[in-house]
Amino acid sequence: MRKVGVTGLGVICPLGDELTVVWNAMIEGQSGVGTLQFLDPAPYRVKIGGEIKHRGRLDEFERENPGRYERAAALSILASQEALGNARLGAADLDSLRVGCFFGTTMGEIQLAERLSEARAKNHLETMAPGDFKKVQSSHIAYSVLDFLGAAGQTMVFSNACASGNYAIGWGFEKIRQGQLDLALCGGVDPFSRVAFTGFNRLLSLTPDKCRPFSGNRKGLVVSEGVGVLLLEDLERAQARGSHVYCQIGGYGLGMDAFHMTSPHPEGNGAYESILKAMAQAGLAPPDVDFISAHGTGTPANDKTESIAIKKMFGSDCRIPVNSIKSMIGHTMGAASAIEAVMTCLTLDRGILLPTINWETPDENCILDCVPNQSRPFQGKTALSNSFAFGGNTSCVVMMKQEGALEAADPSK
Amino acid sequence: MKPLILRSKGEVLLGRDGFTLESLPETFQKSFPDVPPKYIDSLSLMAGIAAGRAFQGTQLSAEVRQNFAVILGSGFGAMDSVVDFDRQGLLNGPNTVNPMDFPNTVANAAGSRIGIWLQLKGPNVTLTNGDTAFIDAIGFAWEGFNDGLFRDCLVGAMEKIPAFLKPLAASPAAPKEIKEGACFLWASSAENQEALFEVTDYFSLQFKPDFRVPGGHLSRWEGLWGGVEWLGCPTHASFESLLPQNVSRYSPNPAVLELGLGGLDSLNHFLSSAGTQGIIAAVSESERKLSLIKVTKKKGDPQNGNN
Repeated sequence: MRKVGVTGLGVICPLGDELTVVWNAMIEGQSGVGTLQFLDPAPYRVKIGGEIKHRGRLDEFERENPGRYERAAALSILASQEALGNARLGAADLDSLRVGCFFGTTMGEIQLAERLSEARAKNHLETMAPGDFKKVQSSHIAYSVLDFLGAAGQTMVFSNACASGNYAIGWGFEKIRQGQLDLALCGGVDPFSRVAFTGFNRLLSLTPDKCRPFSGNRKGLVVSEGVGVLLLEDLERAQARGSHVYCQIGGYGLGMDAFHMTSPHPEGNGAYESILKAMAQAGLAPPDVDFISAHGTGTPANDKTESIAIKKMFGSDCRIPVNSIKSMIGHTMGAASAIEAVMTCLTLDRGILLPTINWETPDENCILDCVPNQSRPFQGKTALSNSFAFGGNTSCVVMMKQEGALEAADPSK
Repeated sequence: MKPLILRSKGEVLLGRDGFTLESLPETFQKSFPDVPPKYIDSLSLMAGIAAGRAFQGTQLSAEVRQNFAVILGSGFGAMDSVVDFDRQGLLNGPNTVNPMDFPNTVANAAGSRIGIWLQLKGPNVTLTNGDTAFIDAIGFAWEGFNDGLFRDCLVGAMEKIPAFLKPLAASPAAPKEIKEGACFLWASSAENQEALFEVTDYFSLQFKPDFRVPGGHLSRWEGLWGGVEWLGCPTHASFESLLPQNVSRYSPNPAVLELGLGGLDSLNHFLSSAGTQGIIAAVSESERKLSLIKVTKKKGDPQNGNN
């Protein structure tokens, strides 16, 4: 079996539209959450969300490609370009390689779907275009990325709600590991959605002010948007071409609560299973794990059951740092696990733990160290990135620091 | 790599079969005591009927369920429910939508409900892969089985699209019928069992605009065709030069848009035909994508599980 390295990263989220900008903002513990502009929040109980405010790259792209791509595809293309760029690969390099393009999304081109829905509700069906029939299907996201890059390759789009990105990363890892592919763009994406915002409002899952994962006074999640992309590559090939390797992917695990459509299993069974499978594939024992990027939505139920699963695996007195960057950017739905994986790669690569901001009071049911409020230095080598979803779909990806990484080759530093 | 052994099939197609809640296994409804059936989306209901037909009442041990996957493909996913949910909010205000409808708006609702109903605790995967979703789901199952992701699985596809979108799929010259429904195949690793057919290979590629097989994928492509005597593949001009001409060929009716159920018609035809080894393909011409599975027939009973 081949080893799989991460050689490129791309991200757009409420804290910025470039990797370095987002990383630096997170180190400072900034928040990308605010009063919503995307829709009129007046009728809603909760009025805050996470929106992409730094739109320079997105606006430029949409000006240059008018009407050609919908929002999820555009975000995915831009983050893929960034990942290829900091891996020092161009479209021409993809010609001779076996390429995969795997994305996860909860609702895909939801803003187009909502426009179509509005046209129907207002009887303005003449505004629909024949091309919308294809564009509104989530498969068009992966298609658009390869199409824009002028590449051929395998495509898959996973729709496992908020864990979708991890499914895409896991699949890309597996296909490179087995020698079927040479490199894979793996990511997650979801633009801001009226449907998601309305639904979580009605489920009373949203916090009215700020997201406080693992804090005793946490009140819920924040609906947000974004994209994250990891370029996975055969490690030997990456090293041969002198590429910077942010980290290795060591394994992944997929689980299933089989309990309830919207509530996690009270004992964290699916979460535990996915952690167990991921660690087993990577050949890890509990003492090997140095850091966990949590699903950490900030809802009372998720943070409690995720903590139970972590304690079941690592012991009730587990002191492994466990952070949630959702405290800073909100819950980006299908993008969440991919963005969290991107930041976990950088955590291993750069030796800095990102904070869980807004932490105020301890909760005896939660993990002990959530890296509260302040980033700090980190010397660990192995990390897990958890992600769970509606329906009880659970996932975990293992990432391991790449020893002897070529520091000078990292253009984003 | 080992073959994926498909033991039985269950399907329900709107238009042909229709369905009522009475078609749904009683145990399905009992698995969601806090949600009346009227709040469960039609994709989940159709998937439940198809899964029930595939299983035909077979009881699974707790050990088997622990490593039993559900893999579902779809073109439009939960779009029908998304539009209904959104419309309710637009017309009557966001605070009037029923929160019980919200879980229906995620594409993995149907697969998750199957997992909850049957207590299947292996990977639960939903692929929204457009016109190749069914074949890609089977391909994922074959590869996932060989990767050790699970031992047994239900694999299939589902499709239902909002009625108001259907005119976008048709042209005045060629009115299209759209295939909607759900299909599940039961892939079992148990030994000494009867099988419908085996999957022995899977290939999928989004081509560049010139529709050539790229160099990196060429040897894999050429290796697929040995021993193949039957091909089920829609006719699309762009792909024809790639396909072998010396095999028996079945092309589904081009006036029927199969969308995420692409390949189901060819599979049913294969199971009732004389050949024993074939390739079943699904094509997305607009996304320049071809996905295919290589299959070997075992007992050939196309009605298995379709009652």
